[in-house]
Amino acid sequence: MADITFDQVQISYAGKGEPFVAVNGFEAHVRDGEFVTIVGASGCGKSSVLLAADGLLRPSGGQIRIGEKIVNKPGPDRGVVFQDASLMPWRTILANVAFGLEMQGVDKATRLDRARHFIELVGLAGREEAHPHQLSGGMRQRVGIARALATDPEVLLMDEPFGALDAQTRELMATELLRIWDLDRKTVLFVTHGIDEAVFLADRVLVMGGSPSRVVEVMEIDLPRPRDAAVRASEAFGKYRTHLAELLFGAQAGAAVPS
Amino acid sequence: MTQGLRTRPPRPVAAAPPSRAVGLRWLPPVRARFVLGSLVVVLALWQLCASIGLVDVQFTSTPVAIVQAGGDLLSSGELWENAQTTLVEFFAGFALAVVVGVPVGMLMGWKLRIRQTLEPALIALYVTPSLALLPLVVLALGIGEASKIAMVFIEAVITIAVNAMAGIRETDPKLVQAARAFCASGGAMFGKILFPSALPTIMAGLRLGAGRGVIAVIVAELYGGTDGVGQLISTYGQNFDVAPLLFLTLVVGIFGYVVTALLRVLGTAATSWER
Repeated sequence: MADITFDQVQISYAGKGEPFVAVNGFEAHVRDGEFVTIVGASGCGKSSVLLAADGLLRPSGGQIRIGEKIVNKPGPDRGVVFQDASLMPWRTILANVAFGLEMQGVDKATRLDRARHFIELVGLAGREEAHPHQLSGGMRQRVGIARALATDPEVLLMDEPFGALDAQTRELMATELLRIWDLDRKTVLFVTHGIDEAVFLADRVLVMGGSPSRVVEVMEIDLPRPRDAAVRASEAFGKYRTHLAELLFGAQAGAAVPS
Repeated sequence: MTQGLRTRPPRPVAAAPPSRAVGLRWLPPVRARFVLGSLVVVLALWQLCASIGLVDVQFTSTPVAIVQAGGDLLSSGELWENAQTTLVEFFAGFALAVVVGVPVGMLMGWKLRIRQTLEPALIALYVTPSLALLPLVVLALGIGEASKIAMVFIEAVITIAVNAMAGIRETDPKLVQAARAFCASGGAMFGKILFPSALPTIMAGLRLGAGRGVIAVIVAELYGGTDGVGQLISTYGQNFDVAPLLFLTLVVGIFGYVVTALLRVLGTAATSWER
């Protein structure tokens, strides 16, 4: 079982004098195989919650569990995709994707085989020997996703992975991500500030708010899968979007949410 | 220290020049024409001023006399004999400086406690004109090769270590975080993230260190010794023999340039992913 439990999680930052409490009483449960997105205003600590779930950041209170295991450091059961891809510029795409397996001591032939498989899966076959600077932002994110998938984690943690991409590429990447996710339905926790993206991807949306912030609402997204452009254009999708915008920016903003 | 050293703006790829009209003879590329042109003009003016008595050849010599002196130094074997000594001293000192400076600098960049321990001494040495230590080094090691090797080492090792430290510390924290997320051990973090990331800056440090090392070996030989190019320069200076003096100075300059250029090529090869 690879469900994620957030139990009264508190996150604070050290500063001059009193530590600043950014997140307090964060309660959530992500079911095994579920796709959950977290939205919230910038600076609300949503990325910190995600990094804490990987053990890259230690909560100042509460507990995060993957299955029954308490998170205290990164582990092979989780894979992370970062906002800026964070690829090693001196490594080829192939070597970047194989990095996680290399760290796990998988022998070279096996890890390169697996890396090739995932590069093909994310649609970059033929670019194995390229270096990151030779790829576009969207392609680099594809590499980031392939790298996270290559170690076959049970949980995929995604920190605004499409945040720096242009709108068109972003929509395309969301559809691609769902296609890949649908193959084996890993548990996914996906942080975003994009309302469309949050609704389009998710089984459930966790809305963060307040100061210090916590989960203020959980939205069930009851839209058919696989999702495509038709789903995006549907009335139900629009309603979810409007509701989410109201939650985040207030009623007026909800009425005039930009598409 | 390292600012701007490895961040040369990428050279624009020159478009193929438009084909010239048929019948024109081949000309060197524009840049070479200007470089060669300025050289020829300066040398010609120099020679001319000297021959019409506008400058005192006792101090300036002339290009022709310098070339003649160079020919004499080469054919008598005097240059090569002394150059051998200087080369051995330089390369021994520089190799020692690389072997010590790179690991020490990287460790200082990697481990906070080591940095806190060694940084004050390193920075103090970095800002001290270490050539001022020459009399002390000669007292300790004599006027033979050992004191020259020591001076090259002292001059080069500090620059090399400071750059290696900076290279490690400039590593993108996002890459460190990503490596942690993929469960990189301490050794893997160093070998697979910090070291490759620091390599361009380390190579820049080697180039700078080599330049300082060339200065150090010549100055140390000028100060005292029985052979070496610096000692030759010093002897010709005392005899007021300007032409060979200038020729030898030119040789040292060319040597420094060649060593630095070789290290640049080596660095470019080692960090080919940058382009």
